[in-house]
Amino acid sequence: MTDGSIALACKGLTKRYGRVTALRAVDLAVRPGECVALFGRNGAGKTTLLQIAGSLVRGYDGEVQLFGANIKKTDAEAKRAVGLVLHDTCLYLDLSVLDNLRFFARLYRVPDPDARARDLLQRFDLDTRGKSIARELSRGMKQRLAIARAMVHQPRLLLLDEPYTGLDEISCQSLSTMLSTFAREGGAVLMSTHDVERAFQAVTRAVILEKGTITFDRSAADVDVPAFRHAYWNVLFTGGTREATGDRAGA
Amino acid sequence: MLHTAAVILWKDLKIELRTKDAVSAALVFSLLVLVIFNLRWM
Repeated sequence: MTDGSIALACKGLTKRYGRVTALRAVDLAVRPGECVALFGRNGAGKTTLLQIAGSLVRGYDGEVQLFGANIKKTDAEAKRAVGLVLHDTCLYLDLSVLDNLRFFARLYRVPDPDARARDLLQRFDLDTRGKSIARELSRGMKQRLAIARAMVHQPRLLLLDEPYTGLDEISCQSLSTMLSTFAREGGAVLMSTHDVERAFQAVTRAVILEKGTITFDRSAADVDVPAFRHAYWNVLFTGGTREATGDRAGA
Repeated sequence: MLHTAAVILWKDLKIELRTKDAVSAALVFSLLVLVIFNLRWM
């Protein structure tokens, strides 16, 4: 059974890798219509959070729900509602661009997989490269294809780990527009990024993770972007503090 | 289940037709098996 009122809910989420605590009692809810950016230093726990939400990492304390269903109790319907893009593009490099999309569309039983694949190629400006082998694409094109692949089954929640990596200016803008549209149409997005300016073109909420703890969580409308950037750099370069991050980044 | 298996088979055949990785490995392996068994009965 699924509940559409909250796309992703983490309650007291704690994850340890041996002696290292990647996440400490994280409480986070992402609702349909929200596009949430996760900021934080390398090792702050962003990728771990996305991997747990994507059901790729287990062995954690606390609870994670996708559309109201606990992801530990396998709910295939809820998991089908998730589109995931990680650092690794997870593409079949020896398949053509079109066949990569066709393959995932068929796996998800998308009606008319060929039409869906061609539609996505056009939306991601890859229609001229449909017959190219994925291995021959540039890093940015592979990233675009990976995002198209994550959207092939029309997910309701997108989990994106640094989606702007390798994209040129035009692709970044079109990704921001696409994410905003996706959220406006009722989808939910949780993405990790270091790119403050680009992220604020799309996001409705900004969250900072520091050493596995959420130290900042505000609506994008309440954030002064230059002040946020300054506070975020404070986090990156000095480690920051909870109070300093909150005070400086607020409007 | 069968649908998923068929889709994965389609993908693997597509990749195999392009790379011929498994075919060449299988050919070398078959030749080795033939040679070894021939030597065994000599």
